[in-house]
This record gives sequence, structure tokens and C-alpha cells, in this order.
Amino acid sequence: MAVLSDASDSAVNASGRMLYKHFTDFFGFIGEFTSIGYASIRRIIAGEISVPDTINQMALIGANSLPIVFVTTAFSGAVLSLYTSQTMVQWGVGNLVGGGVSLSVARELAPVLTGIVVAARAGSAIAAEVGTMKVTEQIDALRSLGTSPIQYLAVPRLLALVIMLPILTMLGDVVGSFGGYVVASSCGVPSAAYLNSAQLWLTPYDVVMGLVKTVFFGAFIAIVGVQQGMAATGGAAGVGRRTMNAVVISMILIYVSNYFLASIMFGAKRPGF
Amino acid sequence: MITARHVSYRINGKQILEDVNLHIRRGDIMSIMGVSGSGKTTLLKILAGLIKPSSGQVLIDGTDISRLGEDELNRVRHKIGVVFQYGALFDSLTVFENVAFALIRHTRLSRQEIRDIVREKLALVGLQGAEEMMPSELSGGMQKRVGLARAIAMNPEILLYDEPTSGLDPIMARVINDLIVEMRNRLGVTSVVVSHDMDSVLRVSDRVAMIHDKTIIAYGTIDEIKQWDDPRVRQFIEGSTDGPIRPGET
Repeated sequence: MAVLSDASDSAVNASGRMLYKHFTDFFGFIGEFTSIGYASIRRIIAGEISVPDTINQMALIGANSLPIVFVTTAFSGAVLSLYTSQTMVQWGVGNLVGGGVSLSVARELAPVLTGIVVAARAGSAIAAEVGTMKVTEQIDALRSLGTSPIQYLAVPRLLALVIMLPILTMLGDVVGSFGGYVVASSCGVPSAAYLNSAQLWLTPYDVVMGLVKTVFFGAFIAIVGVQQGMAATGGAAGVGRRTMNAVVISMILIYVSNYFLASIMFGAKRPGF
Repeated sequence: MITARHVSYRINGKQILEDVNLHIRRGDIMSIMGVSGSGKTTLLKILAGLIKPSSGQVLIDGTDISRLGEDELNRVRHKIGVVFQYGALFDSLTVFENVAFALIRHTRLSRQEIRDIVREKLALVGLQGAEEMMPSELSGGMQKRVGLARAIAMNPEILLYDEPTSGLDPIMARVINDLIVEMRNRLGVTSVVVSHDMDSVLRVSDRVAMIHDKTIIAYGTIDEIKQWDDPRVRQFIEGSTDGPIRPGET
């Protein structure tokens, strides 16, 4: 009995310790995320911005993400259009397809998909680069040379993502709606009807709010990438784990915040009006 | 110049340093020796203000750097140069950009003046003409020397070296050792050298401290340390496997 109770005690202790570790890790993450975010925004407000570094990051993050954003939004718009066209044409309301597709693309598909692909592409790159710098003492070297890693690493990446993600999303809006248009046409929806309903349903508010959401997504991707990178320890395995974490955490933040942002932006507004 | 008072450092429930007391005089070359994993590098990073001690004070010219915020610390750091064990060069920048890093960001020198300083510092470490190379094109020893050139670019008053001669051939190790002494003789630089290379320690140091079991166990001039009768110090100096320090023990 004593042995059994010892064993169950140690099992309780082990799970207790694990729970405690998850608990402290979670609040540790919140603390670091907030502190990096706050310090970066403070430096941006103070004008401590390196324009060449920011432009360089905008090119790396933004321009290089264009092909993957185009492919994902175009095909997602297309497949959405495929389903809705088939059903709506059957019911005789094929003239509503354009509105439905373009509204979904502008509010949800383009912002979220762009956020996700950029989190996978740029978020992982940021975490891997910063993580490698951390484990090879380059972050220490930066600080020893009197340069804040926040200013040198976080600020340009944060600015680049906050600027580039809405631009990429805007292009995603166009390409996604066009993908939907091509498929709808092939499913028997007249071009003019598609465009008319898109014009009728889609308001500037929908498009702008869709873009505003991506400003938050961009900030999450940059801050999580830098935070995870700076927390890397050990060698290649540590950097790999942090890179994976950065993508997973960014995706969770994008999906969860998307719901709350959508309910604030569109909750009181009837679709299409 | 540099004083550590009752410095302790603990991370993830593990005590790394405990009640370390150390004083380094202006213009001195002080070596900190000890077995691998004894906390030498951690102590060096605490002296550089890169790690905050869990308790205790680190005074540089009377200022307690363990209490300073990041921005205030950055100002103090201009007078401290750190040479990292593996160079820690920024791998996305050229050798020139690495050495010029602090000069570009923290001085108002012209491009030509910066170019001249970089050339001079690279010549000092025997790497003239390497300006346009990328760190990945350099050998480990060369990276280390570029790291040294970068650390001395701002003419710091204090230089902290983490294993400056490990991984270098004997001739280059001698060049670096001579350079450490020359920096002191010519510019009055105060140096702290973390090393387990006894040859290098004996060659360059004015004073030596030995760190073992989380704290400083011996401190004195080279001659005093050689006479020290602590068996752990004797074993380390003689490089013997027979003694109170078990190989692999940290």
C-alpha cells in the first residue's frame, strides 16, 4: 500500500509540476509578448526607426510573400465560388454569387489566409533568424555594442509586417474575388450579375475593416516571432522548436483575435448592408 | 574600476554563481580561470551588463550597472568591449559592417573616418583587406579576430574577453595575447580574460582569480597564485587529473 501511495503521490507531484510549468510558461509568454510589443511601440512613437532596415524587411516579408498570397486567395475565392455558384444557380439566385463571394473574401478569406501564410513564411523566418542570433551570442553582441535588440530587430519587423500585411491583403481581395468571378462565370453566372451584386453588397467599410484586422495580425506575427526567437536556448534543436512555436502561436492568435475583431467590427452590422 | 559585490546568479532553479566578490583595478589584466561549466562566462556577462545578477552589485566606476535600465546601460556599454568566444559576428553583415557597427550607430564620424578606423583595427588583428568578406567565408580564428576588432572599434576603457585564444593556432594565440597586453600598455585598457588556457593566463595576466564550485576560491597575482596551497588551484595549474576536481565535474 505504501508503495502504491508513494507512486500515486509522485504521479500527482509530477502532473502538478507539469501544470505549474505550463502555467508559468503561459504567463511568461504573455509577459514577454507584452513587454516586447510595448517597447517596440514606444520606440516607434519616439521615432527610433531605421528606414533602410524597415524597407529591407518590407521587401523580404512583403514582396516575397506575393506569389503564395496570390495562389492561396485566388484558389480559395475560386472554391468558395464553385460551391455557392452551383447551389445558387440551382435555386435561381445565381445573381447573388458575386456579392457573397466578394464579401466573404474581403471580410474573412483574404485577411485570414494572408495572415496565416505570412505567419508561416515570415513568422518562421523571424523566429529562426532571431533564434540563431540568440544561440550564437549575436543578441549579446548587439547589446554589448550599445544597440537594443528591440530597436534593431523588433521595430523594423513589426513595422514591415504592419505595413505590408494590409497591402498584401488588398491584393488578395482583388485576386480572390477575381478567382471567384472566373469560376462563377464557368458555372453559368452572368459576368454582369456577378459584378453588380459585388458592387451592391460590398461596401468600403467591409474592405477597410478586413484590412484593419490584418494590422493586428501583422503585429502578432512580428512580436511572437521576435519573442520566440529571443527565448531560444541550446542549439539548432532549440531554434527549431521556437520556430515551430512561433508559427503555431501566431496562427492561434490570428484565428482567435479574428473572431473578436469580427464581432466588434461586423457584429452589429447585417451582412451586406 | 570594476567591482563585483556578493554577486549571485540563479536560473531555472539552478545556482550558477554564489556570493562572488571581485575587484579589478584600472589598467589591470585580470584572468578568471576555472574548469568548463564553472560559471566563468556567466560572470563575464554579468560584468558586461548582459545578464542581471539575481543579487549583489556590479560597480563600474562607482555606478551599479545591475540596477540600470536598458537605455542607461547602453550608454555605459560604450566604454566596455566584449570579445565573444566564437566571435558572435552578425552573419548578415560584412566584416566592414561588423567592425563599423557601433561607429555608424553611435558616433558622428564621416564615412571616410569610419573606413580608416576599421582598416586600422583590422590591421591590428592581422586581417587587413578582409573588409568585404562575409563572416561565413572566414575561419573560426578569423571570426574571433574580427570580433576583437569590432570590440576595440570604439576604443573602450574595459575589454572583456571570453576564451580569446581557444581554437586558435599557437602563433595566432600569441598574437592575441600580445594584443591584450598591448591594448593595456598603449591605451590603458582594463581587461578581464576568461580562459582555461593556463599558458595564456600566465603570459598576459597581472592578477588571476580562480572560480570553482560557483564562487571565487583564489585571487591574487600570478606569483601568489603559483604559491597558493589550495589543492584545487594546484591541480588546475598543473593540469592534473589526480586531485579534488574530478574531470567533467562542474
